[in-house]
Amino acid sequence: MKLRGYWLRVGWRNLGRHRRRSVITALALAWGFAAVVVLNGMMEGMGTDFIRSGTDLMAGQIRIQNPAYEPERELWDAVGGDGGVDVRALLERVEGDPGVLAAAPRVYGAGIVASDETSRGTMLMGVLPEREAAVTHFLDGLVEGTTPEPGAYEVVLGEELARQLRTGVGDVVVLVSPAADGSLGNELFTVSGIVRTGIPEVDASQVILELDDLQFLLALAPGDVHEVVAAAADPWDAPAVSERVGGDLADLGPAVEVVPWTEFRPELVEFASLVRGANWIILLVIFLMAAFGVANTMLMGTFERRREFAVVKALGMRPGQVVLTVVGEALALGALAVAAGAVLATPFVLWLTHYPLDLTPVAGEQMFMETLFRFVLRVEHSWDVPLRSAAALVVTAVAAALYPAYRAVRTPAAEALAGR
Amino acid sequence: MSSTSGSPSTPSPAVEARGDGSAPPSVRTEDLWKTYGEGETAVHAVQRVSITIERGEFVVLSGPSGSGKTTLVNLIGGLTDPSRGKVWVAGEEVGAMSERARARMRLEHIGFVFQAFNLLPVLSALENAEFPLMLRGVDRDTRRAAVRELFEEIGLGGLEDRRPGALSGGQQQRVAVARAVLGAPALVLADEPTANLDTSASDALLGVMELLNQERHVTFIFCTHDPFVMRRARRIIRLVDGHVERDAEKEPGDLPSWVLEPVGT
Repeated sequence: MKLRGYWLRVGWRNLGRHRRRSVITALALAWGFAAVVVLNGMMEGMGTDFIRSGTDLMAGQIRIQNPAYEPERELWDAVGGDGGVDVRALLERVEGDPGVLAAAPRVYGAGIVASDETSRGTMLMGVLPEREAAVTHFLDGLVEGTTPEPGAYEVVLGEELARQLRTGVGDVVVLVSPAADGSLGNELFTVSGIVRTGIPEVDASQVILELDDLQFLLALAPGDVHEVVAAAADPWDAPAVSERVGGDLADLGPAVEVVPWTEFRPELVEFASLVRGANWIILLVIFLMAAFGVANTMLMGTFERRREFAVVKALGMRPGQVVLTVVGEALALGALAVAAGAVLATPFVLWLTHYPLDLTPVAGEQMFMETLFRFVLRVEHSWDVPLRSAAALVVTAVAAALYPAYRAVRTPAAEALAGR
Repeated sequence: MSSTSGSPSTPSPAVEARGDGSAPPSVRTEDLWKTYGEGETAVHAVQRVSITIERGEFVVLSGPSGSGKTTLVNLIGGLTDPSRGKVWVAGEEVGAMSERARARMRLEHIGFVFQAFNLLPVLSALENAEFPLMLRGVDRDTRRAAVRELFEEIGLGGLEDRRPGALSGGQQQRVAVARAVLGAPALVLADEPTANLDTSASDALLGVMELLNQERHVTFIFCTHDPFVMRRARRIIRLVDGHVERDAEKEPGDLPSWVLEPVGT
């Protein structure tokens, strides 16, 4: 039966019978659709920013360690186990994966840092500053001085630590730390810079050294690194990239484990799930409202057109075709709403995608889940959200029309024709 | 079928259509009742109606307002269920049919003409007229050609694209009649089809209907007060208070005096 276009055509014309009512309903739906698209994009943007903030700052998105290293963090549990690894070759192999942007090695220790006036317990971190900057951003927080130069015995102090030590750039501090060989390593270092990461624990206790200098202080061999951190091109792809890189490094033995951020920062995954859950709730609330709006409009329409439904039934229209008549109208209404909603949403999406609104000056920065959170309204645009939302809107409109359609089918023809 | 006055001198389409008598009647009712309300407030809109209308008959249901004409037509068309009794259309019992089967029966066998036109306001005159053909799956060119040809015959040429709101009452009724007869159904149920037409338009429409009746043996059942229609009928069934007071065949052109007599005389 060549009726495919008929239902939509008639549905469209029926909408035109009560233009004001149809326009108001369609606009309400359009606002709902636009709100879903923009809010969803903002929540996605916020979620991604939060994940990036939680991983880019210090942790990285992919971590390569000796599985024995955590949680005791013994100095000798280096990547690759006894004898370590060829760090340069390892970095090249990791960076050879297309999903990896950059990789950087790290050495960790703990000890005491002392200035002329006082001393504090400290966490030591040895890095290659240039590589580290390609993976994480904590060195971007240098508020004074420079990063340590190789072989210059320089350190960067956390801002709060420097304040407590009452020391500054150019001053000399002593680092004392138990070394891997059982000795007590100690050395003089010049403060080359002060860093403010925004993470209170880091700023109050972190001393950052050049990788070789810390390896020397801790009596570690050049191949002994405790961690290689890597940046993934897409944080959400980190699990897949980790699995791939892990497979690629399998020949290095069991003392090499590749872990994505989703495993070593599970709280961020929970947050992402929370964001997605909130998205679903927003979607549900908005579309529930839409459903009631459509149902109301369609019910009014079907009550007003009881006689017409009686006529078409008398003319031989089957119940399923009566349903299609009402559903066709809902489809037309949904299509109209999606088109209007797209027009409403597009400027906001484009604006907040290309020109994120930084509210940090007003709202400030917040630490949340050991992650620095900045209030930036940014839409992470993907076609997925609007397409899914449009489909959801149309499905909602159609679903909301089913009860009115049922009422139309159940119209008692004789009574309706008699005007009762 | 009871006949109380006269009989046609020439074979009617009904007689021709019956042939050897093996074809089922177009309509048969058996002790048909339709009651609204219960107990003391019950109103019998139709009661004790047992009639048989053969294929090809041209029948008028007459009677005063409230006599049950429209209800009987609705019962025959399966638009409402009887309180008691049975209705057969083309040999099929309507009460035993599902809603879907009734829809198919109406689509394939019955054309309706309603008292109040009841055109669909969002469709043009042409789209209204072709509606049953569209439901039957007739291709667009064929059905539109059929509509245009009939529109020319009944004076609606050039009005195809007008919506009902832009047509006069008479024009709307002609579109409604066109809609009912275009698919050449076996049975046309027409409720006051000429109520809003002038004499010439009524004549033209009845001419079309008579042609369908003569050539294709389409059965016509009219509810009407219009003497013009009654005169052209071959059988008149007079209803009073829901029951058949008189059922008689007649010669086309005749108008028996009892048809116009007040109730109870």
